[in-house]
Amino acid sequence: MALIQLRDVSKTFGSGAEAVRAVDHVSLELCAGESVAIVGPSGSGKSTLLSMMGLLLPPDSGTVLVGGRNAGARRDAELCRFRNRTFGYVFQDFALLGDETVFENVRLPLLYRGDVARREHRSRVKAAAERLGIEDKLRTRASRLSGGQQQRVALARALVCDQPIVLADEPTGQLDAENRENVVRVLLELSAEGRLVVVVTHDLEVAGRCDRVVRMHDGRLVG
Amino acid sequence: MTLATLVRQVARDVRRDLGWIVLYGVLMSCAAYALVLMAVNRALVADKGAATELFLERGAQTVTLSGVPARAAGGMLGEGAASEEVASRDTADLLAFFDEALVEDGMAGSVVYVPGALGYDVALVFLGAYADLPAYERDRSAPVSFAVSRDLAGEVPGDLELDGARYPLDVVSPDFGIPYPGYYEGPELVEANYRNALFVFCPSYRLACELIGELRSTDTLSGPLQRIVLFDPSPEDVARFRGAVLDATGLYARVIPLDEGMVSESFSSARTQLAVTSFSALAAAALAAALVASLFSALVRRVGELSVHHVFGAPLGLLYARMAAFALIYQALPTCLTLAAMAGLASVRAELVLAMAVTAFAVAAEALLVALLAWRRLRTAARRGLRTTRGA
Repeated sequence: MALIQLRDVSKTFGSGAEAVRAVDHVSLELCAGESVAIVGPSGSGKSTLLSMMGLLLPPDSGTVLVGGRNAGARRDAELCRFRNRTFGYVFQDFALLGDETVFENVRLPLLYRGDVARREHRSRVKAAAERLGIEDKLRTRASRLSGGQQQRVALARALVCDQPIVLADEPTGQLDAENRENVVRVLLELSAEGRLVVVVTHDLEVAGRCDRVVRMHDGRLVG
Repeated sequence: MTLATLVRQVARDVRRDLGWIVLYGVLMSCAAYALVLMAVNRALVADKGAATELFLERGAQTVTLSGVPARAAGGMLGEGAASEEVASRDTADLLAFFDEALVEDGMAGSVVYVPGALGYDVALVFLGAYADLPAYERDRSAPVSFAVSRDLAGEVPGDLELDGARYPLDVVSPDFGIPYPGYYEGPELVEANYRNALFVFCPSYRLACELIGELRSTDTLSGPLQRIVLFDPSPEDVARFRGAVLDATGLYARVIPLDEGMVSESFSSARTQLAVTSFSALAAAALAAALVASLFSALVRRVGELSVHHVFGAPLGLLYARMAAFALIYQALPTCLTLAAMAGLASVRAELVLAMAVTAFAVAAEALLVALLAWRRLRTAARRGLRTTRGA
């Protein structure tokens, strides 16, 4: 069964003459254990599509089903809780809390999880950090890390709650070759463990290593 | 997400902006003090204005005494000549004037302070038209009314015995104040200035002299002359008064209509007051605007960071609570200092108690509103999907 189903979703930004249709009647099914790359030129609607998959952006029309349920039709607090347990997000600019330590950054989703006792936070954060090789950086401020290290912190944050879906928007966009390889390796490992991993990328080499490639142009799927 | 976590997050937010909070706190407190004092001053000026109005509507003319050339010339003749002049002074006309003018509905009034009279620390005797000016409801059918200061409430017998006659003895009311031309001794000042005091409301100068002998003095410092006010006198009355004063004291009495006297004085003081008030109000408004702008920008700076929290599970409502708590704490220092100042002043002016409540409410409402405006930015950012977190 598909973990994420997009049914004829559309999204328009702006209004009147300035309206831009970012996503135009897209339907797509994504299953657990898959690694999916979304590629396309800038402005083709990749990030908007990913945002709608991750329930960060409601579609103007169409439905987004997660686990077979219309996940978007919830109140904000409920939607936040659902997102927290379901999705791990990775951003091109890392989106870390620069003034906070690596520990606090990785722990962030656990703070809002609700069903994980506080005393478990340390062990979970430590496990995620060890997996990404940043266990010795837990007390360091995120802003003092290199780009590669910051992206590893972001990855650790995306998997600390054992979320079944990882959505990554240009995760290698700001990284050198070595760090890019590390990030891709971790994402593919997560997929191999049964998680659904969706990656928006311009990098065709990264896309080529995913199970499936979805191409977008002018808000539509083209392949 | 526990309350403890929220508190920790807010504490961290506050710690980061502590410098600004203290700076604006102190500046805003200064501005708030200025506003509070201006409000108090305005209330005092209003009281003073009301007191002055009492005199103006009766056509009051104030009296100032000064030396005359004749007296100076006398002085130049030598000690002997001067002593002879003093000895020859005639108080009969002045006392006769007092007898005629200082009566019920008379054309003059005065208040005389008699220290140690009738066993009290001080007796204030309101004569002539002045008997009706203080905030005291005297029995107009009685020739004289007595009341004691509020500190003696419950300690004095119900009446006062003088020369074998008994008079009812009252206690002045809490709003008892004494008006003077251009000045008002309000209830708080009366309570502070007059303890173990007797207030005598006796229009008739003659009767007052019979009851309190010391009043018979024509001394310019201790008699009725010192604070005498003429009410709508005719030119003949003024001329007669001047002559009587000159004969009795050797001094020239300048009689000036109160409204004329106030024009020059009040015009310059009003301009000064206006300048000070305008400056204080503008400075306070500018500081308040700076505080609000600084609070808003402190909140908006956090939008990127809070968006990250939102993406990873923090509901917008919770984030508003965090922003509102931060905004309230940001305002807490100036608010607390201002309320403390008001509390101090409230012991003097009771209406400030209400002002304190209004201020606390207004500050809380302003903080919540600013937080709401900044939160709307967060909500807008949250609608940008994966671009939400830019600038975290």
